Amino acid sequence: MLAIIRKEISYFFSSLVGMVVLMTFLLVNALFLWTVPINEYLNIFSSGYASLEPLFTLAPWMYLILIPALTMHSLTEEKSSGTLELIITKPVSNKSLVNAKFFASSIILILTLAPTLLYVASVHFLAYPQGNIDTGAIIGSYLGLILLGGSFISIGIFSSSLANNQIVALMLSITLCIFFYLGFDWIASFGTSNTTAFIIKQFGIQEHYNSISRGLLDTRDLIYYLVLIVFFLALSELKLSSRKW
Amino acid sequence: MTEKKSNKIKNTNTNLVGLTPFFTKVIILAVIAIGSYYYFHKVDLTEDKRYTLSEETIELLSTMDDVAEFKIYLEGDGLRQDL
Repeated sequence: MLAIIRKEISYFFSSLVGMVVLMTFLLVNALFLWTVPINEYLNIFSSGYASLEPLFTLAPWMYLILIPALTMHSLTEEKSSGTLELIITKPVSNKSLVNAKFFASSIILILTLAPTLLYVASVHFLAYPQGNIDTGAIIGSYLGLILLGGSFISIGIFSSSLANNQIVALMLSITLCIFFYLGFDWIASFGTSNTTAFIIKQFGIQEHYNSISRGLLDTRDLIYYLVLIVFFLALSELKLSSRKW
Repeated sequence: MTEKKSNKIKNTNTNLVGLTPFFTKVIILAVIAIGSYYYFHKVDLTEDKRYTLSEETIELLSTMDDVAEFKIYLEGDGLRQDL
C-alpha cells in the first residue's frame, strides 16, 4: 500500500497534475482574498473583518473542480493503460489499492491547505487588537475543509472506477460532488415541510460543513463524513471486484 | 492448508464476488450513521463559547415558569440574514 501511495504522489508531481492543482488553488485564493476586490465579501480587506470566513466559503467551490481533476486519473488510467491487471496479479487487495489512492490524494489535499496557514498568520497580525481572531472557528473550519475534501476524493475515486475515460470520470465526479454538496439542500427547498427538509438536508455535505465551520465540533458531523468516505470507497472496491462477475 | 486452498478456488468461481462484504459494510455504516443521531457529543471550539449555554443561563431557565419574549433591533449594512 505504501508503495502505491509513493507511486501516486510521485505521479502527481512528475505529471504536474498535483502541482497545477496546488498552484491553481493558491493563486485563485490569493487573488480573491487579498488582491482583486471583485467581491466585497470574498476580499478580506474590503470585508472589514479579521476573519478567514472568505477562504472557507471559497475553498469548497475550488475543491469542487480541482479534486475531481486530481482523482480522475486514479483508476481510469490503470484500466486504460492495462496496469490494473499488473497490480491485481500482485499481492495487493482491492481494498488497499483503493485506500492507497485515497490517501495519496488526501496528502495532496493537505499540501494545498498547508500554505494557507500563512493567511491565518496574516489575519492574526492584521486584527485590530493584534491576535483578536477566533482560533476555534478556524481550527473547526480547517477540519471541515479536510473532511469535505476527503469526501470529494472518495467520490472522485468511485467515478474513476466507473469510467474508462478520464474526461468522463471528471464530469461524473463533478456532478456527483455538486449533488452531494448542494443537491440535497436544493431538494429540501422544494417546499417540503420543515421536518422533511431537515432530514433531507442531513444527507448533504453543506449542512455538515457549515456546522463544523462555526467552530462547533459535533460527533454527528464527523461521523457523517467518515460514513460518506467509507461508503464511496466501498463502492469503488465493489466495482473493482465486479470484473469477475 | 488444503482447506484454505479449496476455499480460494471456490471464491474465484462464485459469482458476485465482493457483494457480501459490501453489503455488510453498508449495513454497519447505516447503523453507525443512524446511531450517531441518538448518541452525540458537541465540543465548542469558539473562544467566547458562543454555542454553549452558560451555568447562569441554565440556572435562570430552570427557575423560569413563563415564556420569555425577545425583541432584537439591529441597524446597519451587511447584517447577516440568518441571524
